[in-house]
Amino acid sequence: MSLVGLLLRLQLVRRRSLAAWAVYLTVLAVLNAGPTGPVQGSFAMTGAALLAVSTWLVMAGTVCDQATTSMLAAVAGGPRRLHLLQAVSGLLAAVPLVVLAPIWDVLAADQPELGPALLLGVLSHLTAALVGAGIGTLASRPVTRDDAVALLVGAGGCLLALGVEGSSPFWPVFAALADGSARVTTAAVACLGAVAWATVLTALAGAVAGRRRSYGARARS
Amino acid sequence: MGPEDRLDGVELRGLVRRVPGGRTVLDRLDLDLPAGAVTAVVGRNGSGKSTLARVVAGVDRPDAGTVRRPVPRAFLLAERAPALPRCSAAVLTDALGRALRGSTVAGDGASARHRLHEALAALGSTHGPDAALTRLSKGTLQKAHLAVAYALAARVTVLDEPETGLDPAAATAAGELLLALADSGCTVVVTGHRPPGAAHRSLLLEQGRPVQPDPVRDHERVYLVDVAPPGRAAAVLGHLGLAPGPGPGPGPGAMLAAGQEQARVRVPAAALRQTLRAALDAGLDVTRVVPETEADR
Repeated sequence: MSLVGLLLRLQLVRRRSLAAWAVYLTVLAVLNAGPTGPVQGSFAMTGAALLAVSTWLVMAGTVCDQATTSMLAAVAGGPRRLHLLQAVSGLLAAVPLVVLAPIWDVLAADQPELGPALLLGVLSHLTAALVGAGIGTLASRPVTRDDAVALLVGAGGCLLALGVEGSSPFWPVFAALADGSARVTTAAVACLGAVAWATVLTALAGAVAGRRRSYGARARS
Repeated sequence: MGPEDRLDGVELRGLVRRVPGGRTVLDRLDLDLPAGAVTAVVGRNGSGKSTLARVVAGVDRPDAGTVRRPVPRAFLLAERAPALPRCSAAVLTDALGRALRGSTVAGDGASARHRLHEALAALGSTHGPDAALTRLSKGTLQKAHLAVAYALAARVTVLDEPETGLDPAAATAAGELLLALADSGCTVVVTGHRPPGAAHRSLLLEQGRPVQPDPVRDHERVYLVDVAPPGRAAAVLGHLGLAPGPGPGPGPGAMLAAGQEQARVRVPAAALRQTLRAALDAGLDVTRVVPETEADR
């Protein structure tokens, strides 16, 4: 087992992660309970929810107790690398949802052509998860050390990414899915953009984590 | 591994570390922590031991000065050993061992698992390597983490108050494991309020500054051991050559005093293990093992 595997293992047994999955599964069940209409409309809703949930998962996956954080940061080669690995483990925790959501949406919508719809769904949900993970790295300790500020950064980042035109790679996919005009190529390009977005935000967050003088400690430096 | 193969140690120059409020915890500290040696950093509460441990392990950044390590990764056991959920010593050794690859002197995974078994047995742990860490008592959890540290054999191994929660026999065994780690070429740093049972060098830290260099080398150190009940202690330890008197003399040590509840024995470091083993094998209670200080003499 690698260090990412250990972080993922720690994440899987944490109640905050279980809560994020439970909330997302509830959202999927509610959105797909009745007549759902075009599948792209479902993708837009469940993708938007996944953006918020992947932010939540990355924040929830950050180890907070000082003894564990110190041990893992020393082994990882410093706080910067540990923050990057925690972002990766948070994103990995969202991957099952990236696959599950489009399948559920397609089956509920009684879509005649499964293949293209599933591909579009997976790409758009992956885009959402990557954008959410990028926001999550900025909203986690030690980059954001106050819980209330972390919540504001996380929630504010998600609202910005969904509500302001051009603010994130997910926005054009979200808009196209909402009006039923999304294509696989559009989603694929957005997904590549989301990879770059997540990489840049995670690198930025890692740089800030590396500059903290007391990583893992609750005290302000 | 011979001395010529030993790795470079950790070098600290002009190290300054302040905490919120502006108090300087480490004050222009220059320190060489050589490979192949156990360095004990001793001091009172708030003297900067834990901060130094975190800086040496690369977890905290200094406010000024430089830290040079032979490898970027290190093993750090914090003052309170973490009980990671759904994890065992074996899982931790496996995961951390992969992450530390290239930064250890240990072999492959099988070798690390063998070393983990070996260390748990030496420490007298009542739980195996697969026991969940969350189910262990404080002392057993500490033993599990010390065994993981030994199994990983990270080139830079930092242990913050490693003897916390250990009984005297386990503390002695832990000291021997750390000496063995150092012998294999690791830079081992331990902190504590008193000099530990085994160390090549000691550094007394006071207000973030070393106040005296290497006061007592470990092989010259003498320990005070309290054993009960005193009558049987005198009989059992008498067989080892412990005689009444100021000692330690030509035998392994001296029986200083036998009170109503316990006997106090003065034992040099070289005979400590033999004495403790004899006492524990005979069913005696070893209630205290501490290094003798100037005040005790």
